[in-house]
Amino acid sequence: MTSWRRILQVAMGGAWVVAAALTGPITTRAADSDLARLIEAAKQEGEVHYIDALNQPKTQTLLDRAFRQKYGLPDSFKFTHTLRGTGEVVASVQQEIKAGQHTIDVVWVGAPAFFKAAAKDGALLPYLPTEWKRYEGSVKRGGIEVDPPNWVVPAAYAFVPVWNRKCPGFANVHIRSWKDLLNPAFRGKSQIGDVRKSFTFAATWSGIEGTLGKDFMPRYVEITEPAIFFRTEESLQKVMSCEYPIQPWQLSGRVYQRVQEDATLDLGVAWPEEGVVLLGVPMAIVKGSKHPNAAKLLVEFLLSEDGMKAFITGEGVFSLREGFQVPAAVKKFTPDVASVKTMPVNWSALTIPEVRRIQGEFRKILRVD
Amino acid sequence: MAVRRRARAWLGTEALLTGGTGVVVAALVLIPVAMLLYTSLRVEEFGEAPYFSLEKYTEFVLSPRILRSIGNTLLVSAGATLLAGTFGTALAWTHARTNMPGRRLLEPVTLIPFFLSPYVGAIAWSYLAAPRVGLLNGWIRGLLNLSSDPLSVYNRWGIIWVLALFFTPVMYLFVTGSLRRMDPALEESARTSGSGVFETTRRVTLPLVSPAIFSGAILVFVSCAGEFGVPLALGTPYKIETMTTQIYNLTGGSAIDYNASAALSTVLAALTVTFIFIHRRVVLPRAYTTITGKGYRPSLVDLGRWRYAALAFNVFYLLMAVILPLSAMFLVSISVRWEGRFEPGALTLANYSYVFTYPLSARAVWNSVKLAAAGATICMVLAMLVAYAIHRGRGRGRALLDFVSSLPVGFPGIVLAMGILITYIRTPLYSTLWILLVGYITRYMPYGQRMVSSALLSLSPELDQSSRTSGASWLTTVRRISLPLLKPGILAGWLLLFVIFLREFPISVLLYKGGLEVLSVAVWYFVEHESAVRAAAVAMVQVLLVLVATILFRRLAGTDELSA
Repeated sequence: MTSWRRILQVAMGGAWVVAAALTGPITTRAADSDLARLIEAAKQEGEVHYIDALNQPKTQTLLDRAFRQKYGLPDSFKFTHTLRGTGEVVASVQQEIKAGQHTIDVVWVGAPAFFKAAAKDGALLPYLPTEWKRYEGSVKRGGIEVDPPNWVVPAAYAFVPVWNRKCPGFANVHIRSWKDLLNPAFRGKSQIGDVRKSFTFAATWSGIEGTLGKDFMPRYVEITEPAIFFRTEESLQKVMSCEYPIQPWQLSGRVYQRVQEDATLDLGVAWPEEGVVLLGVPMAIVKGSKHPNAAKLLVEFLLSEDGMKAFITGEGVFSLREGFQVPAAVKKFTPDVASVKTMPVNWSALTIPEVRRIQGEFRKILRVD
Repeated sequence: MAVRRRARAWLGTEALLTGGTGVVVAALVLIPVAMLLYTSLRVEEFGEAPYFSLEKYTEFVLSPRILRSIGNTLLVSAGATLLAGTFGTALAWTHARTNMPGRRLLEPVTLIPFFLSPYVGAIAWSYLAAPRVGLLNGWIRGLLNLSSDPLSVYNRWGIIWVLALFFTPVMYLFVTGSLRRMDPALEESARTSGSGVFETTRRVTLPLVSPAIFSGAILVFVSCAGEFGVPLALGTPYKIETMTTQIYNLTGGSAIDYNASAALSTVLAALTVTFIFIHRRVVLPRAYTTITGKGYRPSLVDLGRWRYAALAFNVFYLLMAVILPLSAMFLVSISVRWEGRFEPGALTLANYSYVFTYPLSARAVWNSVKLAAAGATICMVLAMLVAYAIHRGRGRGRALLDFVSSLPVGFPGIVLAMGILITYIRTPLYSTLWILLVGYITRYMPYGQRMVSSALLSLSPELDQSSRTSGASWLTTVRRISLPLLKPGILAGWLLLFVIFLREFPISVLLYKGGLEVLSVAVWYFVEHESAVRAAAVAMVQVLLVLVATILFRRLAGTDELSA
């Protein structure tokens, strides 16, 4: 009996080894052949166009190079990128969906409410990237809303206070808490992101309200009388020139980018103790895209290790890819996402009507039209 | 026989070309206007079934925040008109009717702002008078030992100031034309009756040119109400919205609402068209006949010592409108970084090198030149045919064609762009340079038509008639008689449109897509996405291109082609 059991065990073990040996390579081969087919189809389509609100020209250069290299895309392959503000990205895509005229293949923007509405409307092309499983864990831990295969969220960012220590009166500024921003010395020297034009600013407003109370933002506005800027790049320019030396909602990645260009800058970045609002940046393929295979290949690339490396090296934001090694230069400004304390946001409640309500409140408090 | 003759007349080259052009022009103008109105009434939320309603007018346009934007629009337009009216009239009078020194030298420079982009002017003024980092603020603070900033352009006054500086030449052109055509005998009579210089100016000269002043003021008011770049740069970040910035916000914000945008566009268009209507019906018929049959040359008023004060005022205007803003822009463009002070030790041409090598800006220069050349050419061909149909044609619809073709003058660029976007979004024109071209042609064709019309009206119709009675066809007559005589006017019109298209902003910013950027869009893009120093460099490239084209225009046309 014992010998029979022993034989059976050995036989089963052998079968498992054979099965593992066979199925492993077969699965890999199958994925490889799918990818090879996708690459060929993408080459046939000859171009892909994505729109986003984040990637700077330098980042796009890095992505372009890595994308071509990874898949052996020819020089004739057209890789187009459009950079617009969050609201403008949404407007452009909505415009094309309504008109049934598609020039944009992939949309990547921090506006989950738009993706929810578009998915509900059947305006997105469902596609589950093979690398998505490497993201699921950190997406879940970060409480980030996703809806694969309609849309996935491979990266995130957070708005944090940034100031220029070189500006008069700012050499000794230290921000540890959001409450440190309620400083009369910042009156007329501070800024605020334009909630009227951005889902991500609206979400940050909502998160701050939830954690610090409804009266925090009105107090900040009353004490500092901030100027309103929409684009983080323009806003950081105002910080750098000392025109408006402090901005409570800036991307640490933008500071990283500027310091890469000019090491003499002395910009402070704070990660307040109450936490930050972690803003996932959803990505989807537009249904009706003229280059669906090239769009799928681009999504595969952006979620791959190589794509993520090029993207994070360029933008300095959070990667949600598990096990991703954040470059040391980025880490100085943007820590590992797992170490960041987050403020809770009820994402499912942050629908388009709710965003409009927050925008209305912003208008009222800022006394702006 | 008579039927055949009539058919031949109907199907002849002249009828086909002018009639066809009339239909094309009417379609270009009327369809976007109709679509705008239709969209304002057809409410359509993303993902929901559309329905017809007046709610965008009754609830949205009449909401307090939009009413405030309308109020801001009226306020800054009125303020800018008042200031530009004062500057423009004073400059016109000193140039046309006084012995101010250096008049000939100063006139071409005084008109430079007419050709520049007000949006670029607003950015330049932000380098001069921004809080803390404005160059002028720094100089004045140092000079007077002040602890706070004496100037700021980030308010309604700043918007009024910049608008006024850039629309002063419009007033100047209206008034100077009228002053130069005025019979000096009227002033001489007043003076021989004992009136002094200023008394004569106040009681005789100004009343005589008042229709020109009102005409200029209405055009400036309408242009300011439709201006988008200046309030975008100086108002929006500082809580001041106008109708045009709200229209733009509604097409690009997260609270995107095309129906509301169309409704607000319709209201703005109604406002501006009303003013144009008032101008045509009330102001134009009141123009006094100041030209008599006898040959004359207006005598110049001797200002005595005041002529230096007049010169100082002219130099002050040039400093504010041309020298200081362009110098500031240039200094920023050659700086390594911009921190509100010029550092002679940290100069670079790298920003220019970046502008010419970065794909977006390099593409923008090329797109602008292509669009400007093609747009100006098509506009002038259409303008010539329309002008011919109106002034030389025999068709019944001439008055109607005149009205329809000049309608876009009353429509702010951003409003017409909104109509064009809605109209062509479902066509292959969408997301191509062609839609921008259509936008440019629709909005600016009347400018070209005006240039051709004035040249055509100065030609006697007998020249055409003689050619036709000698047996030449209509086409031969146009080719061999009219075109050679109209050539200077057509070339001047072409160059004027070329310059306007090089700096066009409101239509471009609403209609462009990735890859279709033009120079003004590149300036805006660099302001929002790049650094101040690179934004200044791309703006300087635009200014230089515009100035070269302007010099060519002046060589070909002189000031008279622009005068009203």
